[in-house]
Amino acid sequence: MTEATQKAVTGFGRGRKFFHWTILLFLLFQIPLGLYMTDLPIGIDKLEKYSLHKAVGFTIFLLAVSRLAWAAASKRPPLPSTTPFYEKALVKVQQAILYIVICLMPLSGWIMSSAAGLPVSIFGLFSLPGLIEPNKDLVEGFARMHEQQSWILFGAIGLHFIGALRHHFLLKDDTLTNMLPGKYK
Amino acid sequence: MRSSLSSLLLVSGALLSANCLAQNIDRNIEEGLFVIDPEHSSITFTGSQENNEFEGAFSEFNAVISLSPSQNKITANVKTGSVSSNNQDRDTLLIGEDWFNINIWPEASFSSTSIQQTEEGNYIANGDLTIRDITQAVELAFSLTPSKKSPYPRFIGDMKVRRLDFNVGKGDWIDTRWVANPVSIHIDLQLVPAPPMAASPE
Repeated sequence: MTEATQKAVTGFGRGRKFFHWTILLFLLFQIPLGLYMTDLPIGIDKLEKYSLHKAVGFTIFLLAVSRLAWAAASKRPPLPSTTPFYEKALVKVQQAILYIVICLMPLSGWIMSSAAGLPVSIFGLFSLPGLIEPNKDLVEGFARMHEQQSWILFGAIGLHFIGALRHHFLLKDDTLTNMLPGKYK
Repeated sequence: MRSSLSSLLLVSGALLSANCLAQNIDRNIEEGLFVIDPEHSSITFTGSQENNEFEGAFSEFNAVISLSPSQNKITANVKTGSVSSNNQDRDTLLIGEDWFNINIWPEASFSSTSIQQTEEGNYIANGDLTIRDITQAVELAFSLTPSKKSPYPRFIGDMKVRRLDFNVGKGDWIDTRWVANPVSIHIDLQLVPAPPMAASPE
């Protein structure tokens, strides 16, 4: 086994890094906001937080879709050749789940707002149309779906994070450092 | 209000019979004393939240509409606690202290002071609208049109109000950035002849 195959990961492109870290930053803002706002008493403060959460969710959705388009149009560095096939499969599944959930969460939130007869205003600039007619009976189901997706998201982010640390500290390859912002190969 | 309506009822009751009303809609319109068929009537409103329109409705209301040569009069009461806007949080807020405050003011009411015909079948009613403890002069444009399902006419009216004129939405809600001030009210009533002992709209 050569040095090259042990540390085979070549750099992630600027686009991938941009989407990766921007989406992470938005998620680090969005997730605590979502957890915090639901227990607020009904009032303007709650409306403001919900409005912000919806606009940020829409932004994340756009970023995630753009990220997928970018990924489809560009090559990603391969995993180290020493990576077992089952681990490669696991990584693919985990990353797919991560992106599917990141794309689905804004949609379930949007449908939930539509069912609740509430607006989805994007930073006051424009509003999204309702995806379904207001229907009280559907709100709870979509709220539950949105919450369940958040648990899947936490799990997927957790696995992703553990995987990155494992590459760095246990496998001692460049996967993590190659994804850090500011380092381009 | 109750006594004037009762006397109105007695006069109209003497003049008209239900059969007469059933036979001649035009005459009903001119002379009738009507109440509403609640099953086929609605009072809805359109408000705006974050620049997005939303619909609401009141499910409990009553009206007595007298359109006779001697007196034209519309009176209506709405149970504000019956409001529904397809959103539990919003409905809870609407009946609460800052909005309708139904514990203190469970009803809103309208009483016309004058009714003018603008063209055939179309009218303007000026009157007093009371919401919470505030009464304001308002204008109700309405039409009387033949009903598809009833021998009696439909009363279809529209009114524009500003919620803050009635202190609806106090405290932080005075800021109209989140909930706009103008509210459109749409009234669609299936009229039926008042029963012999029809009373005030309670």
